[in-house]
Amino acid sequence: MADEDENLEALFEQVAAMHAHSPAIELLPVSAPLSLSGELTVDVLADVNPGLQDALVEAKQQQMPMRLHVGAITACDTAGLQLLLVMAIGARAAGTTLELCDATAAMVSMLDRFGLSRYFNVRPTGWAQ
Amino acid sequence: MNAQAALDEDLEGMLAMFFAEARDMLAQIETGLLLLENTPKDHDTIDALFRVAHTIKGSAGMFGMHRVVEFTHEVESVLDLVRNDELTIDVALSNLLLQSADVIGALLTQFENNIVAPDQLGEMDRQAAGVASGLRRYLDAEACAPALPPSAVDAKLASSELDNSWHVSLRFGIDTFRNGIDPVSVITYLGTLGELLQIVTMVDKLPAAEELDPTSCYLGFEIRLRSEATHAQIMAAFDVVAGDCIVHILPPNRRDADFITLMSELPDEKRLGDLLVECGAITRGALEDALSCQRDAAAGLQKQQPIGKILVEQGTVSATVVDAALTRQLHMESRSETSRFVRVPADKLDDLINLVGELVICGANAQLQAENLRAQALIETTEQMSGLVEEIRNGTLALRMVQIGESFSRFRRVVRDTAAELGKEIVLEIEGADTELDKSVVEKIGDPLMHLVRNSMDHGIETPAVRLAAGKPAHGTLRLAAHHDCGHIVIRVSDDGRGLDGDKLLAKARARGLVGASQILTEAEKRNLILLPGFSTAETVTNLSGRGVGMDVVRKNIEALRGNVVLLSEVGVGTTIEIRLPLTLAIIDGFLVRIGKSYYVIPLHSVVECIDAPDERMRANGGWAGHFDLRDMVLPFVELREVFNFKGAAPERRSIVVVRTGDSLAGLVVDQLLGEYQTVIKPLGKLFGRLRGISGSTVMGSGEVALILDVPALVRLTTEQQHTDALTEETCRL
Repeated sequence: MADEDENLEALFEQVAAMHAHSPAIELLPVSAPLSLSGELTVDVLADVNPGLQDALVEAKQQQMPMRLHVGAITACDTAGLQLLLVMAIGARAAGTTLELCDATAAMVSMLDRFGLSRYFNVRPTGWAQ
Repeated sequence: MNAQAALDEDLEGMLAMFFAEARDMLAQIETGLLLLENTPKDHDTIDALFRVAHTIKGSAGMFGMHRVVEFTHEVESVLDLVRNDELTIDVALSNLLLQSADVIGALLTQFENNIVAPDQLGEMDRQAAGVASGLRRYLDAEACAPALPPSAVDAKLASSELDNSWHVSLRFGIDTFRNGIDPVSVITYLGTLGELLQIVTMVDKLPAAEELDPTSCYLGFEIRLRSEATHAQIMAAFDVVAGDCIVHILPPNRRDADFITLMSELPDEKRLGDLLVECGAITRGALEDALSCQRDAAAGLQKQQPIGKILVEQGTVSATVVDAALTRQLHMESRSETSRFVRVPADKLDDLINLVGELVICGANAQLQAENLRAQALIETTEQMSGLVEEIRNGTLALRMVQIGESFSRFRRVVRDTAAELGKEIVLEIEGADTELDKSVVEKIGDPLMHLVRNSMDHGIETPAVRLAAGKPAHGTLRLAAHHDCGHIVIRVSDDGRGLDGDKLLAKARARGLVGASQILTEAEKRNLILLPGFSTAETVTNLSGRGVGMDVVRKNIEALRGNVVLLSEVGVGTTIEIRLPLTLAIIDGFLVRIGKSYYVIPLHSVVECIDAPDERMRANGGWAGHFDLRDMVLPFVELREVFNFKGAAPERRSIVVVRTGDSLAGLVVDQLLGEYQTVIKPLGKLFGRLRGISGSTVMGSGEVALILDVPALVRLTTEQQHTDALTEETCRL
């Protein structure tokens, strides 16, 4: 139990550091794409979520595609995938899209494998913007 | 046995089951169509018809019987129009659909017997094509006819046949992520068991972005997996997620209907069907077929059980909940329907009954030995055992008992078609369809009954014009009735037609030299002339009956079953033919008697009472038969000693067994009464086929043979004793 608490604390510190120092997870205005990096797993989602939510609200208001750089994501679990999916579906419901820029081959194949590519506007690595 | 052989055997068993079920279903179609002729708007029946046709189509598709599928599809499409009130069933359509059922039956037979001879196939195809073109005329007439071209049907089949993959349906619980489980990893592990052909992610339960708790799991997956693994191995892949995931695994040989079951088990997922289609687990067409079938079924149920509707109207439950519940209920019902019956090959039952027969004999032997030893404990045990053996015997015989209704109801079609052919209006009434009798008896009376029914329609019931002129209703009534009567089943075929004219029969019999010119016959005897070989009263011979080869064959068949035929008729009012048959052909309760040194068995159900023979009165009478006074009633008796020609003096004290057949009582004089005896009937063999007064034999516990008395024949002897001339008697007794 104590271990877990310690782990959590360490995690909070890490996340705080990420926010403070960037560019671990960068939340930039809509015009500039958001960027995610590192492990997009269930443990960090609570921190990543608010930024994404805001971005989605803005994208909806401005009726512009929500752009997300995912090239630096090193690992993604089901929860991370689910979060991206919710954003994508939310964007589509509002008449816009979620663009995944710099998507790695691993990311693209994961989306394909689970039949989810169609929810996103996927731009694999090297895709001319 | 290798796996392939086991699979082949399984398949063979399934095929046999399919053929049997398909025949039942065809019979249902026939019954349904005939019902609809009276009530063409009966939606329950129409729905049932559609369902049955659909099931035949689906099952035939599973076994790759494309020709059956194609043809049944046309039938189904026409029924669909009827169901949607775009088409009304009239006589022409009903005829066509009945013919269609025949064609389906013939196609199935073809597959069943593996007929591949081109000439037979060609003939079948022509017939099928004729009926199919008739069906298509109805379909073409309706612009919206949703007929699938055969190629589409084939494609659909191909897709469900070629698909040999497992289907795995996963629904993860909301705490999955928080419990440290990563569904993607689980699925990746599943992939190690084989090849993940397709995964579709179920996203319908995802909340809106602003309501999302990112650590809650809202996902489900539909997965198509090609794998050699067993069900248990696949299931084991989900051991780690037990409690966090609802897992459904459908094996490669699944049917479309299984998906419907799956869908009904996950009722709040409206788009599941689409997902399944997307996943390639099921084709769109097959899904819609299955769904419409399900809807009909549910609708049918709702009609019968409006409580669901009431609940919805009261706002107690939502309509979808009721639908799901009804659907589930329907599935359960159909499941329990199939599990209520076990199909057992008839020869297994026959073997069992033979064995029970031997057991009965053996038990009797043991009892005899015990009595000889005077070992009280042994006697008690054997008595207890014989009680049990009797129960086993009754139980075993009951296994073979079937209701006669099934063989009755096939006459509906016969009556309908024949009446149309003859230009008569005939209503068939069936009574006592739930009367049970031995299956082997049912099989054997089919043909005689058919003959009697045709005879009644052809010769008995008049044309509407003649009937009206005679002051009767235009439509004739044919009744088939059955009931039990002391160990026998009595089947009556009666009509309200013109009846049998005894004098006409007599004149004809005289003309043919069957009856001597000076012979005087009673009315009953005159009527019974019709049962003589080579006799026909019809002035015109039709293709139905009238060639005079019928009634005597009927009588012979019935008598071969230890039964008898009685004719009752009144000119202008109608004719009733009564067939009396033993309930079973294998084992009976008997009453053992002794005459001289021989043993005889009297079927117990015909024994009324036993009395001491009043010796002085019998002597006064002399001869082999006579009458005596039974409590102020005149009772005819036969002296069995005389009938079976026993030499030597009769014992001082003798007994009379009073027996009954039909309405007549008679006494059989015997030397000694030995009591009840379970009798296993052994046929006497051809050599004794014409033996009168004896219907069979049995082996007793001691190994001695006892003859079983044919009581009706003996009773007839007593009532007809005045005909001393054997030849005359032979003619008139018939």
